[in-house]
Amino acid sequence: MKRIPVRIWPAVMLAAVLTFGCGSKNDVAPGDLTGEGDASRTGESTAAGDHTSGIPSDKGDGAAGANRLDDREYRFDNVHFEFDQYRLTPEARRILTAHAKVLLENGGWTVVIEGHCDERGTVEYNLALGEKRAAAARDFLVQYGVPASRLRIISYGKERPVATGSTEEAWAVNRRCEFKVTR
Amino acid sequence: MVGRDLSLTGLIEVIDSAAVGARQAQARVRAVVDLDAGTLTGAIDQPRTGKRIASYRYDMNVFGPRDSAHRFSDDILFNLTAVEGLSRTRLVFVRAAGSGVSDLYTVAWDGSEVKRIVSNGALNITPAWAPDGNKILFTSYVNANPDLHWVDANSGAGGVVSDYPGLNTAPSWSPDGKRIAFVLSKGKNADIYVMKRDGSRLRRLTHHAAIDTDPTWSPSGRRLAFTSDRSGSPQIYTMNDDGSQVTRMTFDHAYNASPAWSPDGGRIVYVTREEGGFQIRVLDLADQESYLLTIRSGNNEDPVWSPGGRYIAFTSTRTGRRKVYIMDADGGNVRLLVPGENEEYSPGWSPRPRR
Repeated sequence: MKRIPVRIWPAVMLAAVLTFGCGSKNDVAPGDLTGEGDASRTGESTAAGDHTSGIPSDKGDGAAGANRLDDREYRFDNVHFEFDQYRLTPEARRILTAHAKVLLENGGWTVVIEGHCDERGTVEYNLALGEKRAAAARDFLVQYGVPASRLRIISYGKERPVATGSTEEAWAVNRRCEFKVTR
Repeated sequence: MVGRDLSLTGLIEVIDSAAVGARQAQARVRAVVDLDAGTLTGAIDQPRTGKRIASYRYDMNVFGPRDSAHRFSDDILFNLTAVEGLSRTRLVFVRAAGSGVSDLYTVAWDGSEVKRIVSNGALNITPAWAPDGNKILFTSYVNANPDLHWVDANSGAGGVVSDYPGLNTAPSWSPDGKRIAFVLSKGKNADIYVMKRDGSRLRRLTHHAAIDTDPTWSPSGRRLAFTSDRSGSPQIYTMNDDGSQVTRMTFDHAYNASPAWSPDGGRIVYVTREEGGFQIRVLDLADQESYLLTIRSGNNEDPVWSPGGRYIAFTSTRTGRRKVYIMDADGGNVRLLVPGENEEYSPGWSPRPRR
């Protein structure tokens, strides 16, 4: 019972992350942006303390179980890249930070990080570029504390676009990392 | 069929016998098929005097009817032009087969006899035809990782060559067929390696934190060209087969990749980003001048030389979908290899079969 306060903080943090995650995916009305900003700030402030202390251990009791139930709804949004780049953008870091927090809360989850490219450029070069993108996302998560043993990367180069067409919009959507999570 | 083989070379104009009166033909070709004997007998005559220039006989019981005709085509071509024909060569290519799935096919150089050789419900890409004419190396995702596989183009037998975690891709056979250059990332970064055909003596050639990929051998087997973004953008480099003496070859344009070294050793064909898309350029190594081979015709990629270097096969989106084309090495006489709706790309050319 003494440990309850420790559990409350991760719960708050996760709620914040979830709000943020949904906000960036669904077309949220402009009015919601303030809430989203607040939520992510809350998330960051709790993360600083959480990150270094109790996250990895607690498995299998009631409170942690409730957290994981929430996390099951968590969507691992794609992160996106500039043309011919594998550097993580500030937006990509923001999304990866959220992913990292959920992964740290759920020690049994494993992730395959897929690296993808847009249709421009050669097959072989894009395979290598997709590998770089997936490795950049993986390295970020590892730096955040997610054990490398839970992460695997695979590059599909430009072979698996999600958007068809030769437009800036389609290219931007296709330059991505996807996260296939086994929960 | 013989007429089509000869027309496709771009070296011989085929005139139908009915139209010969109006045109001055330089040779008259006749072929007789004897079904009882199972032979194709071919003859080349001088049209005016009727004098026999050469005659040939092919055992269709041994070669089959198609191969017999292709052999006759190559014999006519060699007799009249001293050029070694390609009628009996095939190309391998990738055909998209649904979302994230692709199969490997081979096809005769005239676009006939399309044959599926790899289909496993996964992505199969970057095929390279071995100098022995039988084996094809390619990357397959069938085991949930881009591993290097081989397949026998005739029997369909195959197996895994290299399955390190991460990329095992972009295979290129040394001209003598004894070594394979390819790319491993080992879960980090793409670098170029060389191993013996049996997988032994794996040696890493590039040690750069940047992307290194697309190895292609010089005909001597002593140097390789490859793509690297070590300068900040993809450019073409060459190096010795032990990784020493790295030399940058391209400086214009921000995207140069996919090099292929010509069989005569004097040129490297590659993909460049310019003219509002990806185009094919050829670099003359003697004078360091490069020439554009495709202009404003969609995106053009994956150039490979024919045996002998007279033609280049490549992928183009000029009709809105990816298809494989063959052009003369100077960019002329572009022809579609396999018509149809399928997305097709990454051609690899077989060597000439033994006679």
